[in-house]
Amino acid sequence: MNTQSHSSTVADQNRRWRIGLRDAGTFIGLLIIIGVFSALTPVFLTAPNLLNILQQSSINACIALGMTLVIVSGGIDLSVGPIAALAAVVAATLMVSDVPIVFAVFAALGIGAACGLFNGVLIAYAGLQPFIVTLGGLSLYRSFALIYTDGNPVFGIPNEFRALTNGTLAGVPTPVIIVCVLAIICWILLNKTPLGEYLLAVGGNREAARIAGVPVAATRVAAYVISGVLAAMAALILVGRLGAAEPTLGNLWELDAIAAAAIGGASLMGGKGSIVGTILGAIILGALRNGLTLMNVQAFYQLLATGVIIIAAMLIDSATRRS
Amino acid sequence: MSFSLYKGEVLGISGLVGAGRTELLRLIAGIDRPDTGSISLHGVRLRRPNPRAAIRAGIGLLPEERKRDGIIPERSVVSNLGLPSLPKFSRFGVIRRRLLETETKRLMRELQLKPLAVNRPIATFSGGNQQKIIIGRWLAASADVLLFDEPTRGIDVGAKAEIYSVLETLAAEGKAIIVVSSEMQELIRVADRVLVMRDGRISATLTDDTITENDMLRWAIPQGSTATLTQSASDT
Repeated sequence: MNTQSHSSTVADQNRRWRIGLRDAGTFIGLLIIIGVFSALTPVFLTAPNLLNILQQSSINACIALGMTLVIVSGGIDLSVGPIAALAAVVAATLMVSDVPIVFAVFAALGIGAACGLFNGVLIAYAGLQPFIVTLGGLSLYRSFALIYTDGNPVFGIPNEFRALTNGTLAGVPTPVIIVCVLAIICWILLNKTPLGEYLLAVGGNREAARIAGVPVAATRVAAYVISGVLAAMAALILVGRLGAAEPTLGNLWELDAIAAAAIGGASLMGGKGSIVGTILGAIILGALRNGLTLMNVQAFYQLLATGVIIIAAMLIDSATRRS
Repeated sequence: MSFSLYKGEVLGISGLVGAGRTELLRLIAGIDRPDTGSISLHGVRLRRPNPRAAIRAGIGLLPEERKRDGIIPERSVVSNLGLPSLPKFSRFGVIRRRLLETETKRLMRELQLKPLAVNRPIATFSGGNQQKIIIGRWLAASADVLLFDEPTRGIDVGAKAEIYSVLETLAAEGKAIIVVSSEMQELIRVADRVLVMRDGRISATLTDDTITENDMLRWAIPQGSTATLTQSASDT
């Protein structure tokens, strides 16, 4: 009896590390990609290039963090790119109109939250399909951004704001640090708070979650609001780096974000996902593109490689789950 | 229909499939909205029925379709058990995981979960153990009224006996329990009183010696089907 309970406890402890093992698998995938490109191009494994990969991945990682929460809750958000574009052009317009930067930043985040709220309410309360609502949002928010700017980019972002996103801290680019902080917040939210448990429960079995007293609608809305805010945050990082905001910004960002979350182990059926995995997934995509660019591989083949990586990640994930 | 449920009582609900037994439990648990009528607990009327309000009032449901309505399959025992009472186990918006895990282990030890591996996904446990985890969920949430809809459906004989034992213990502790079951022998074993339902109404209230298969069948079957009743009763 004692032996049995001891082995159960050991097995139980092993279970606790299972999610960590899934992330370890993604990490090994990243190491393989780094190993391959390091062998093929000597410039790849240098500190400046690795920091460059992290910086290039930071925007996708930021979007993918929100996407992970939405996917975990059993949804999908196809509108993150246009939300980012709308937030970017509004913030940029305010900044060039000499509105205080803090106000412009909050305005952008508020727009992200409002768009997320609109998506979430239609999905959670009106009962519409997430794919359809956010597909509609994709057109809607893009059109708002284009109408607002008359289709023109907004230039003249103040240097004070640009300095925030173009600087470094201890040699690490500030966008990387910002996304690290956001990732830690999202990790705590998903793993340590009731909202995180609710997101996983709603994605895992919505009706059972409702019967167990989970505020299903509010939880789903919260996921889309957070996704919208993080899309706006990514937009602000990009506006700071480029010094301009285009209404066409963020085209196909949603696909990269979904890919990062999926590579990181998020189940598109809902109920499963990892913040660490998503960050690793975003870095894998960034490293892949960086390595292929360094090797002067044409963009068409980069798309091909990205597709292969996503499908391979899904096959490996499916095989490990079966085993 | 109107009925009362008392502290420490196990009230059985009998009837044919489609008599409205599950619907009754779902209404009490706030899952479905009633057209009319009301539910009072300790003399206080429950307003705006919904699952969260019912849980706050101390009502917990063990649903008929365990996999569809009861469990979050990929989540651990701790997560499944703690779901309705997370605010109770949280401080400053953060779940006190160790406290929740300790409480889960205590409850699962009491309910004899085997193995006592509370971080394993609930889907890896047998049906009987899953039922115990859902019962534990409502005990952790301090529910006073427990609604069991077909609690032993699809579980083995040993687990059934354990569930009966749990029911008796909970009633002895003062919980008010409603058990809906299609197994008449089950109701005869666990219930202090049995309401027989027919076409969404209570057709009879059976107590003590009148809680028999014969009486349950007699009141469950529509009046025009007497011949079938006689046949069924004699078969049993």
